Amino acid sequence: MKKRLMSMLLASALAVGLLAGCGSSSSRSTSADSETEVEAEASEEESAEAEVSDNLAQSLAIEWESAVDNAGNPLFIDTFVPEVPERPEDPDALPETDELHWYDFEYPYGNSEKMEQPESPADGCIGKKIIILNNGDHPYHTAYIEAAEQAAEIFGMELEVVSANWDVNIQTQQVEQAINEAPDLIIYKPVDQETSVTHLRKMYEAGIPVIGSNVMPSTEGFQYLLSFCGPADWDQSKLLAEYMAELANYEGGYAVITHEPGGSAYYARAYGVITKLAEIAPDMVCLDIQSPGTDSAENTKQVVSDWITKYGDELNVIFTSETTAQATGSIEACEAAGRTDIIIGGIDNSETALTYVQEGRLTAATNQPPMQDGALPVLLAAKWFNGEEIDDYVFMEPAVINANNVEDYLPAQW
Amino acid sequence: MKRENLFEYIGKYGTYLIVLILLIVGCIVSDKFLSVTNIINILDAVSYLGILASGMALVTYCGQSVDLSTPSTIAVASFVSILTLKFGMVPMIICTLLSGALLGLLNGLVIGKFRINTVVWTLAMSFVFAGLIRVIFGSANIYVTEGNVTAFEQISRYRLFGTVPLVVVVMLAIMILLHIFISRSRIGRQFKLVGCSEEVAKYSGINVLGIITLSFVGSGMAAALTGIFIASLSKAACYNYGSGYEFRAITAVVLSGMVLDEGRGSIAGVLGGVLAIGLLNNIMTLIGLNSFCRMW
Repeated sequence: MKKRLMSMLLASALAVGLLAGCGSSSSRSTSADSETEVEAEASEEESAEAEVSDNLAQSLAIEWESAVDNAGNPLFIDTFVPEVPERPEDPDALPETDELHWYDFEYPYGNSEKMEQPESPADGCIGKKIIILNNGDHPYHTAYIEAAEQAAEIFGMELEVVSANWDVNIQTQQVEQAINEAPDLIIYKPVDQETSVTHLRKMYEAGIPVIGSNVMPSTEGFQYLLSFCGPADWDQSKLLAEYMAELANYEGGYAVITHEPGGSAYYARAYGVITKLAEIAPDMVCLDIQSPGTDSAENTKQVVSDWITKYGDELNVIFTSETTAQATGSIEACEAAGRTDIIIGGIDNSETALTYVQEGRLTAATNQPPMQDGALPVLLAAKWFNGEEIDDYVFMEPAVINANNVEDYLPAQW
Repeated sequence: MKRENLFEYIGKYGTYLIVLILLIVGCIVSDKFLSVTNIINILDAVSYLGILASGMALVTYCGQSVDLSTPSTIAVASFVSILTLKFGMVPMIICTLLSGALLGLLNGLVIGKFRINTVVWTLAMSFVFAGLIRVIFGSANIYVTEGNVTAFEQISRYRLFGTVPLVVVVMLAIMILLHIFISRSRIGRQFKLVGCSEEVAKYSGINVLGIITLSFVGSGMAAALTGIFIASLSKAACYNYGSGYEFRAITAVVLSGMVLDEGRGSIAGVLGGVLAIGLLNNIMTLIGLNSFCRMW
């Protein structure tokens, strides 16, 4: 009996643990009132039309440009639509140091033939329901969701957030749930690029418009998207490479710590740097590329310490793919070895990064604000509901953060 | 030496044979391998794991398989350490170790009393603790802002005589103490007996529940101590601190010669296990193999 009781307790505990952090789902009631009298129907239609027109006018009148985040910075920032070069016949035949070798990774939307998308209802964004299928819990995504909720409130939209907690199977279930809830639009942040195709196809077949955000789906997945928006990962890593190369006088050895293998950030943040340096600083030598993970400063510290042992004075520059654990591990290893001459640059702008830049321990970081990242897809959704044209893909303008301009980016968002 | 004795000896200290082989390989791979800096780097890199594995070894030694709740205990400890730092360094350390002890106590009492499968229960607790942290703190990082920030940061950075990291000294001290405790003390011998046969231990008058609970309390406190070092290094607390540590700790414990459901092995062997992991990682980086290709 005790065992049975404990088993039940255990099962409940497991369920609580698994569900913690995931958003709650709410049922959406639909009602279809049947009217028998023709006159009443006509009058209802008229009033509905007037309501639509009224809702659209109210939606278009929303003053969103002046909205600010909790630090007083604009919630909606400048975006750009990148120019897509022509795809080489066989990108794989090109060397890895040629940026076109990574064509399908950098421009998955470049050769994607878009499927016919649902037409905009053009009846205003107010009252519309959006579901965000979040990929997982992370301080960055917490700030992202906070801003998305703020933006939804500005546009008078109902927002529901569910998190897959980095588990692709959970995300698959959440896709089904979201389809069953029949929202007006889904904002989709894939856990896994490959599986994203299946998810996007399902949502497309259900007739629900989808805006991709933050993490790019695969080339095949792009065809099902109404639009995509997010950080310009390739551009920011190239920008960082340019800045660091200049500081290193375009010579010396460098090493790269990658993002988690498999995701789009893995390729963008490692090979964005490598291809740019091959182009502008051919005398800079890539000594090594390692993937010690993004959540353990100790692992990165060990890798960098080993690099210092192996390469000695040959190692001049270190690139990290994020700025919390990886930047901390790199800085600590260099300082412990007395190698403060090594310059370290990291991608993104966590509070840790900005503090290190202020202290002069991290040479540079890049501006990838999560709040603006989260507000952007909601803005696109609102525009689409209002019948406005939206681009197929838009990215946030990247920037390098260094000791001279770090104050402009404070306080940090995560 | 009799064959049985030889096998027992290899089971107990065979991990040092692996360490010896790796030392030889390291010397072949790089002429800088045996430098003082590199050896200290290796010790520094495995010290967090070493502290955690020493605690987990207590659970394994008394026949309770493994404690999979350690990643969440580390995460909880990182939050407790930062939140209690404003009360001073000593209260912070006491509170954090207590948090680990309490989580261990819960695990130990439930597993010892109700004989629930250790893996299932501790894994469930890991989900529950991580979930609770995410609910309370919303998956956000919290940073060190109040209290003696400099002293807190120095916990993971301080080097004795400017050379030996404090964390290495702490790891070695814990291992020596636990080794003596396990091999020389009366309670230590009770750990072994419970690990070999709970029935026999019970009929010998040993408080089996007490011993099992004590092993989990030890594991929880070791995880909490690891959490303090991680929070100090990162200067922050996050719900995912500690993820992945449990499996590396299990690897170290298994490499040490401990059998997951029997009271065999030694804490000295655990040191060999973590050293083997550290040496392997070091050699792999020195030969340029990407960390992604490694499984530890």
